[in-house]
Amino acid sequence: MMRVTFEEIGGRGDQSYTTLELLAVLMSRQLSNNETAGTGAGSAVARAACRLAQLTHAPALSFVAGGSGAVNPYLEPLAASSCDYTNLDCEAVLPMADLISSVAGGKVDTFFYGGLQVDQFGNVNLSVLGDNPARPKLRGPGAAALPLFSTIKRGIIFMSDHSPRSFVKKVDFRTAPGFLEGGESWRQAQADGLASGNGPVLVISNLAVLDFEEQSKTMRLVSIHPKITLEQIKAATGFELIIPENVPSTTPPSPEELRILREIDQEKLLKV
Amino acid sequence: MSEQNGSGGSTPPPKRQINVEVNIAPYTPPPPPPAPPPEPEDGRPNKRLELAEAIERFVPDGVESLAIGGMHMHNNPMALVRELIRQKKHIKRLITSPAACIQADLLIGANLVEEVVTSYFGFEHLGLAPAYRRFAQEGRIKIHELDELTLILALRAGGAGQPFAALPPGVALSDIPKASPEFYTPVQNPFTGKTVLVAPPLRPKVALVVCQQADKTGNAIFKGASFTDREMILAAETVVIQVEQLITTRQLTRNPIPVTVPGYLVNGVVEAQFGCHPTACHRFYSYDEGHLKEYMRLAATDEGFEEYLQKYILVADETEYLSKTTIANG
Repeated sequence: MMRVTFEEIGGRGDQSYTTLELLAVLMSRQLSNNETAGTGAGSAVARAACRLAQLTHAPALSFVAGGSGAVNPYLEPLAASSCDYTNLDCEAVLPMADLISSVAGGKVDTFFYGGLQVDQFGNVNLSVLGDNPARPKLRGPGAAALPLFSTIKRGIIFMSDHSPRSFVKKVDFRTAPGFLEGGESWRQAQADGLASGNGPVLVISNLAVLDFEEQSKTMRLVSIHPKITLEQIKAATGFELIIPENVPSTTPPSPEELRILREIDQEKLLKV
Repeated sequence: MSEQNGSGGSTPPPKRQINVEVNIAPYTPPPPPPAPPPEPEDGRPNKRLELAEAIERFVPDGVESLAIGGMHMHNNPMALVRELIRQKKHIKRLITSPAACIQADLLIGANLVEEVVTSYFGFEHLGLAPAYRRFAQEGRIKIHELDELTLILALRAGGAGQPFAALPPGVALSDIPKASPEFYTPVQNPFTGKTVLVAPPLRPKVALVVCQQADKTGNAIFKGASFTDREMILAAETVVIQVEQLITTRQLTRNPIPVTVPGYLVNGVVEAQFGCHPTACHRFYSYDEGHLKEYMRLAATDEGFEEYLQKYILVADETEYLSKTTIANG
């Protein structure tokens, strides 16, 4: 994904972790033993999350590091590029073509990805901003493996810049299919054999954790990060979220999670 | 540890003297590797070419389709790309790996590319691709944006002589097929009667890829990730590989299992030490982040791009290029 601004929550000094460290910890908690996770381009935070899960609650997790084809890399120290040679210090290496084929073949359970925009139904845009794709206002990086993501069991979207520009009612371009136009269209796609997975199940942003209401498949608030207010989240979201009556606070990273994460992130890539 | 091996006597171990005066000599690039020992005349073809000669001979001006390997800022065949620009080779269709970086951005910025087939185009964690972005936003280049699997399957179909590649059905839920209709054509699945999208085969006229080592006949080895470079090699009519080291066949084939590029698929071998700079060459060196950032800053405008070309690309040769970089200057 493109480089985005990484601001610490609440400013430096009074916080003991950065936005990226928080994202990595929250993402790692979503992973469980005996599943396979996928990470893509520019996703050092996602690779750190996978490795953190392996070193804490999910030792039997497998994960792949983007285009390098590395399976279960020993990431310490975490590298910035998904294709870095250092990722090849790992358990096994798949040729890139086999790795991508295995995603389409349904062998990857959970994939972490992000984009320029995410909309109320979890569709993600990594391609172009503006009305006319032939003359975009902003030319983004592009498709990568995102168009294949209706085949993965669970998509987890991470967005480190939660703002009205990135959380929009409808994406300008649907690179990764989410729940399409909502629940009905998604169930139709499943019936047509076009969607074999469960779609994006979670969105983790720098402000909150969100999921999708079962029937309408509209984005719903799950928990609010420490020091963030509901009003901030509403103001930063370009559409109306489903907000349950009682929204808990996100459990912050524990000292143990941060300690292990920092052993992985020796180069302090997540410290920015 | 060694202190404990003593007999517990009364003399303390002598304090270590550490000399803190360090003379840092200016870095000088390593001398060129010695020419490989002459191999006995064995009748095997010698495909070794000088850089300029390889591009002159194998890449016609206005080449119909050119595939360039390397993924993100790794294993980009930059010496070959710089020579393409020096020789002003126009390219009708540029085919990139699933993640294009500076190798393709330079060619687009130099106004040599009519259309590009790609999947992801950027500088990964460093930012967007500056020339690609400008040209796309100004409508100066035609883009076929494919998902990674379609790009790979189309290359494999090209390599295997298949009429088309059938795609997983879920891809129809993305806007990508609508945006790149030439590569996503609906047909009826003869087995189920349902609609399925198919992609035409990609058969690049020429492929330019990096292998870390090769022998003179083009048997070659990837010492790190091979990305989609082998798919390009198998699909292309003509293949030129840029190598970090040319070695003898006996050296290369001591362990032949990792030698996954056989010479019969290769037409030319160009030895270019540090030829991937400013990108990484797996196992040999990492990418030069400072240089990539300098490029990204300059290539954000037409004028800056021209400045980069004059400073780094339109020079006498690769030796002069490297003399201007951290390779020669630490």
